[in-house]
Amino acid sequence: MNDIVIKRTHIYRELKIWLLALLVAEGVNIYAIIKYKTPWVELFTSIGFVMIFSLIFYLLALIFRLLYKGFARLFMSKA
Amino acid sequence: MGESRRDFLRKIAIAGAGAAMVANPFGQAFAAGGNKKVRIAVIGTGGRGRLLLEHLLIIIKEGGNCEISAICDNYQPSLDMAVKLCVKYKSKVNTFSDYRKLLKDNVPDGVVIATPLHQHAHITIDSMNAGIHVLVEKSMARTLDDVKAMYDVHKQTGSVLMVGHQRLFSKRYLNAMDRIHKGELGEIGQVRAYWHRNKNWRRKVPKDKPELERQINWRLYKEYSAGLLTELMSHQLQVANWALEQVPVSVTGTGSIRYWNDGREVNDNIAAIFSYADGTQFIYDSMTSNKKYGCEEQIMGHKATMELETNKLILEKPPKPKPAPGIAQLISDIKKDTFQSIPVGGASWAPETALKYNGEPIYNSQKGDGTKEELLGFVDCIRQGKNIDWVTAEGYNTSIWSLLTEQAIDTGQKLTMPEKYII
Repeated sequence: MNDIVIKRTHIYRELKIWLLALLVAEGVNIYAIIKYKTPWVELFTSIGFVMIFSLIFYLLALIFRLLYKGFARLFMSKA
Repeated sequence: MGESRRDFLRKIAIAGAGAAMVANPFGQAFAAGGNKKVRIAVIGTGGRGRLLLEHLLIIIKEGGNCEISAICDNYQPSLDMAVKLCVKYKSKVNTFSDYRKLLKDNVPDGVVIATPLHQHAHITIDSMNAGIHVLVEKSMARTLDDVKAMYDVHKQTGSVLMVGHQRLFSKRYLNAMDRIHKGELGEIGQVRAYWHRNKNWRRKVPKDKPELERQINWRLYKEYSAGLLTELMSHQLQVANWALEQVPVSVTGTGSIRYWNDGREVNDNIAAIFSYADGTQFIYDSMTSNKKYGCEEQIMGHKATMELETNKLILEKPPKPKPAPGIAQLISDIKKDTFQSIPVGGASWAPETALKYNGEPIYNSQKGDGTKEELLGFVDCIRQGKNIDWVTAEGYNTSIWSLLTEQAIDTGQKLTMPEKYII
């Protein structure tokens, strides 16, 4: 069994992806504030919801990336 | 000397739900009260009489400046139980089986009369003629003429005459009425009330003394009582009159012995509609074979409803709850759009079902039903030698209209108050 090596670049990449998910989640929050005419203070007070959304988006992105990598390896090995 | 309703309400300072009130509103009302120890006798020591006696004993124990001078009942077991109660509270009392002897030998300052209804009038009149103040249980008397005679003697002698409508002394009701009269409910279109029980209303008669049936179960016989009308409805009719600040102009009703066909003479279910001069109605019913809806008075205005027995104020436009955060609303909408079934048919008309909103409490600091405050008020009235005229008038009008309802039911007619009974 091979050792798994997590490099600094991997961590940075994952952090960047989660940061992107966080921005998308905050975007959803802004959309909801405008749509339902709720106070702008929810940018901060709904941070819990935003964090949960960002984790969901990150996990979705992770699933897609894993699927993509899995299929890519499968086809590469066949080729 | 009397006191108007407005003076009274102003004095006891009940305005506003947050108004601080001490245990006895009459203590404030008559703040200049003297220190005279008031001697009270209780005539009639059945169930209600003993409850009143116990309240008085508690008042004494708590330092109320009064004493029980005597108790009286012509039914020995009731008298014995009352004596036991006095012993429990370490209060020595004289006992009598004849109220006339009590009035003559004991000469109390005031009497609390809790005998069967048909005995109220002559005991009250004899007491007031002897210069003794009276708190008589509701209703006032069995006949219209007796009610009027009691009122007339009260006016002639100047004795305090209070009728046992304890809600008049409940802080919750006082607070509610103040708010109703200030217009918080808007225009009142209708008052509804009901008192539903599921029991036969019978007291146990000793097996070896069947001749006591009519004496013990006096509420069930027309000679002594008008049944549900004088014993239950009178309380709620008084509340309706109080809320509307009017007396009815007519009454119509119906009733029957539907379920408890056990030899009773009074109806076991009744319904009545009272009309008032401004077009308001008071709709009432009482029954004894179903208790699902219990007891309630509903004062219904165009802005709100008050349900007084259960202490609820229900606004027609309920306050909107604070909205959820936008993002939570978005989740909820997505959930709804994703999982809600799409109707493909069904009713195009939705029935006007009752609001699903339980309202808010009217007033939270009332313990008990006002009976203790009523007795404190009576003691203070005696001490001051001061009658509360509108309280007497409430009792009088309620008694008259309760008895008129009986006549309306018995004759099937719509009745108005005969002029000779108008005060």
